[in-house]
Amino acid sequence: MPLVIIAIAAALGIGFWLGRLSFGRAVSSLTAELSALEGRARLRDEEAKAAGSRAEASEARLAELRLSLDGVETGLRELAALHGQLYARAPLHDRLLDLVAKKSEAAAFALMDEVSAISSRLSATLAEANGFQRKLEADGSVGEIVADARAAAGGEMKSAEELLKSSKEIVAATRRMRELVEGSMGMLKDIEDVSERSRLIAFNLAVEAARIGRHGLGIKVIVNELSHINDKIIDFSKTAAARLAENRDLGVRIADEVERGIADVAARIHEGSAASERALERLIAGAEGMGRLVSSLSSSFAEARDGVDAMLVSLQFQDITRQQLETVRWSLAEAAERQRAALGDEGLRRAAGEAPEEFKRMLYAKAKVQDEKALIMEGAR
Amino acid sequence: MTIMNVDDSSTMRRIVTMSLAPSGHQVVEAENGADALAKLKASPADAVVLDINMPVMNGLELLKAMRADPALKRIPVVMLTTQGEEETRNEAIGLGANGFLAKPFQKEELLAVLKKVAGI
Repeated sequence: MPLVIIAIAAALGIGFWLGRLSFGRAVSSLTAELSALEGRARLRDEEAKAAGSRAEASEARLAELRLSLDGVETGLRELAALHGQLYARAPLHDRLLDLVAKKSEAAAFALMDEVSAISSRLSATLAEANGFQRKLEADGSVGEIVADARAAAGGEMKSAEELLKSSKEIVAATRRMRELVEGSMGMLKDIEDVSERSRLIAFNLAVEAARIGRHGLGIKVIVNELSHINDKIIDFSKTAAARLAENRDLGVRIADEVERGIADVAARIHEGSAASERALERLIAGAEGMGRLVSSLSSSFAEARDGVDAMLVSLQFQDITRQQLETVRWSLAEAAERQRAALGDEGLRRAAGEAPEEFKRMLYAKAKVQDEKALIMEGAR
Repeated sequence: MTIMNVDDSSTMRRIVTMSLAPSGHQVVEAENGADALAKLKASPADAVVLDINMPVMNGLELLKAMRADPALKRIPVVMLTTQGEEETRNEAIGLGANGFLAKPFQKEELLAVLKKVAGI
C-alpha cells in the first residue's frame, strides 16, 4: 500500500514535472510566436509608412512632372511661335548673312592683296638692301672702307704735295736759269763790245797799213781776216743774245704759268681733300642710314607678314562661323518645314505675326551698317 | 611643287592658296571632291589639302577614290578638320589620310604638315 502510494505520488510528481515542462515549452513557443507576430506587425507598419512615403513622393513627383509637362507644353508653343517667326524671316536672315560675310571678306581680301603687294615690294627692297649690306660686309666694314679711303686720300695728298714741291723747285730752277741767261747775255754783249773795239782797231790798222805802203800788205791781210772774224762774232753774239732772250722770256712765262698752276692745283687738292672728307662723312651717314632703313624695312615686313597671317586666321574663324550659321539655318528651315506641316500655313502665319518686335529691335541694334538696318526694316515690313 | 586645294568654301580656298603661294608652291583649286578627282586624273599633284564636308563628293569619298586609283594612291593628303569631327578623323585615318590640320590654322602649321607628309 505504501508502495502504491509512493508509486502514485512518484507518478504524480513525475507527471507534474513533465506537465510543467510541457507547459513551459508551450508558453515559450507561444511567446516566441507572439514576438514574431509583433515583429511582422511592426514590419508591416514600417512598410505601410514607407508605402505612404512613396505614395507621397510619387504624388510630389507626379506634380512635378505635371508642372514640367506644362512647361514643356508652354515651351513647345513658344518654340512653335519662334519657328514661325524665323521661317517668315528666313530670307532676311539669308541676305543678312550673305551681306555681312561678303562685305567683310571682300574688305579683308582687298586689304590682304594690298598688304601682300606692299610686302612683295618691301621684300624686294629688303633683298636689295641686304645685298648692299652683304657687299659692304664682304668689302669690309664701312669704317674700314672710310679708313682705307682716308689713307688713299692722304697718300694722294702727299703725292700731290711732293709734286707741288717738285714744281716749285722747277720754277726756282727756271728763275735761276733766267738769271744765268741774263748773265750770258751780258757776256755776249761784252763779247760784242770787244768785237766792235777789235773791228775799230782793225780799221785803224788797215789805215796804218795803207799809209806804210807795200810793207803794210801783210798787215792788211791780217786786218781783213780780223775784221771778218769780228763780223762773225758780232753776228753770232747778236743771234745768240736774241735766242737767249727768247728762251729767257719763254722760261719766265713758263715759270709764271707753273707758279699759277701750282697755286691752282694746291687749292684744288685742298678743296678735293675737304670734298673727299665730306663725301666720306656722307658715305658713313648713308651706310648708317641704310642700316636703319634695312632694320626698319625688316620690322615693317615682319609686321605686314604677321598682319596677313592674323587676317588669314580671322577669315577662317569667320568662314567657320558662316558654315555653322548655315547649318543652323538649314536646321531652322527644316524645323520650320516640320512646323508648317504640323500647324499648316494659317497656323504659321498666326505664329509669325505674334510680336516679332523684340526680335526686330534686337537685330536692328546689332546691325553695323546702314544697309543692314535697311534690310531689317524691309524684312520687318 | 603643285598642291591641290579642295574646299567648297571659296574663302577657305583663297586662304589656303594665300598661305602656300608665297612659299613658291603652285596651287590648283577644286570646289568639291568630283572636281578635284577630275583635275587630279588630268594632272596629278604633289600633295592634296582636303576639306571634309563638301557637296557632290565629300573629302572622305575623294580620299577613298584616290586610294583606289593606282595613279593617285601615293599622293599625300592633308585633311582640314574642324572641332567635333573626331569620328570623321578616325575614318579618314582608316582610309589613308597622311596628316590633319584643324581650322583655323596658321600658315606655318600648314607648311609644316605638308613638309612632314610630303617633304615639300
